[in-house]
Amino acid sequence: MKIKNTIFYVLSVVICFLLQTSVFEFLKLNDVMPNILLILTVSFAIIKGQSVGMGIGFACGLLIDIFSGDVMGQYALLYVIIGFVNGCFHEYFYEDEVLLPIALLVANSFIYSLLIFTFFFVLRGRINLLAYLRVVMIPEAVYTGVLALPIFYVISMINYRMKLSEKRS
Amino acid sequence: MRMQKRKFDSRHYLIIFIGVCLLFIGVSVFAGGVLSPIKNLAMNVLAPMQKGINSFGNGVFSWNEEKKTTKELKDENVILKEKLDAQKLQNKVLKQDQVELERLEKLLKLKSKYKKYNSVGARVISKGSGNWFDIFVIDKGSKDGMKVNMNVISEGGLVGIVYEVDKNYSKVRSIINDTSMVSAMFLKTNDKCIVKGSLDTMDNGYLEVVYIDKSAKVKKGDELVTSYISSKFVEGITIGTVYDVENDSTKLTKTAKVKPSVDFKHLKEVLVITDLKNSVSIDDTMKE
Repeated sequence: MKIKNTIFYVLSVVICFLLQTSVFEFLKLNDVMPNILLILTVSFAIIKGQSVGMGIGFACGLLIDIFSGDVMGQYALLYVIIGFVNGCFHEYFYEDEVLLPIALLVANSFIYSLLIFTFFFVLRGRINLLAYLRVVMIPEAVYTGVLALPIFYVISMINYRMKLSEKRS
Repeated sequence: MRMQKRKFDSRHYLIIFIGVCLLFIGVSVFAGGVLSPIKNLAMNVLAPMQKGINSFGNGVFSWNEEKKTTKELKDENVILKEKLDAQKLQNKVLKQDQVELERLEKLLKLKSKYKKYNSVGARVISKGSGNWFDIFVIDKGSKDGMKVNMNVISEGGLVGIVYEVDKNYSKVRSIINDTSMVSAMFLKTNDKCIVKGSLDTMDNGYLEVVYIDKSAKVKKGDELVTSYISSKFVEGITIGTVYDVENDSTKLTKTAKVKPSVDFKHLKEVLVITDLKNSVSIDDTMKE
């Protein structure tokens, strides 16, 4: 079963990364893209707990680093921390609950962009928070929240099925 | 107890991951080249997939766009057609300007040809009905120093004479007008004659030249210019070339056909010679 799980993780990371970098370029609304890698990391952290969340986060962050960052590891670190923090909510999560993950995802998106803003903009002396908030942060949070629902649902469904088959076997 | 163990485990993981990340950061900051093989590997694995998905997405979206844009294309087509028409019009205007430029350049050459006379350019602004410029109006009037009896020339030669001047425009009677009589001479032999204006003959492309002395040695191809004895026309302006000479029935004079060198059908810019001929009316002197 471990192999199956690993395949599931790897596939979901790769597919989400491809979606993020390829398809969602087409789905830009008002120049804002939803962050599905973030959704993925948070979802797995909530559903599977901290270890898996961190692992997924590390993989996602590393992929982002490889493809867009100039310094390897910065996004990986960020995503690992996100996975760890969100994994704390694993204990409060029940499979029929929807509100908690969605609220978490929106909050995460917001905090994520705030962190990005802090580390990549404020440190370079660009401190026009309001404009950044209006143009990027809030739209991205909303879009991510909207998209989080189906993605979270799909992941949790697959997880549920795998659990069932695990129990059967 | 189990929970505690798991939490401990995840904290371990966290520390390991953070350590790895910091290692990556440190390595890439201080020795960027070391990690490039890993980067290349990941790129090589994922780039083709991205490419595939992109082409798929492009296909989907371009199909979508095609569907969407039929109406847009039509609208755009209308707009573009309008633009094209506007451009065509502009192009025409430019072409006309070009033609005008050429004409004006020719006129300028003409001006230097008749340098001894002062002249001003003028534009034909209206004409009598019919294709021939027997009478036409130019856009210079007394305000611009026009006076009655000023000669009007064009690129070919003599056009006519100003017979009426208003403040802003002048009327010109051309040499092909039926009432026009121009005292002329042959450039080579200085034989005097009269060029009779006639729209009738002009329809056949010539003007009649009468009262040529029967002894005059006139032949085809001779150039006809305004004569020095003309009372209104300044001397030496080309009128046309002779293309047929015949004896009158009276045998006292000859009649010739002359082809005007001016294209009277396409007059647009003319030069007005502002020097008036200083003619003394002999009749008046004799009266005194």
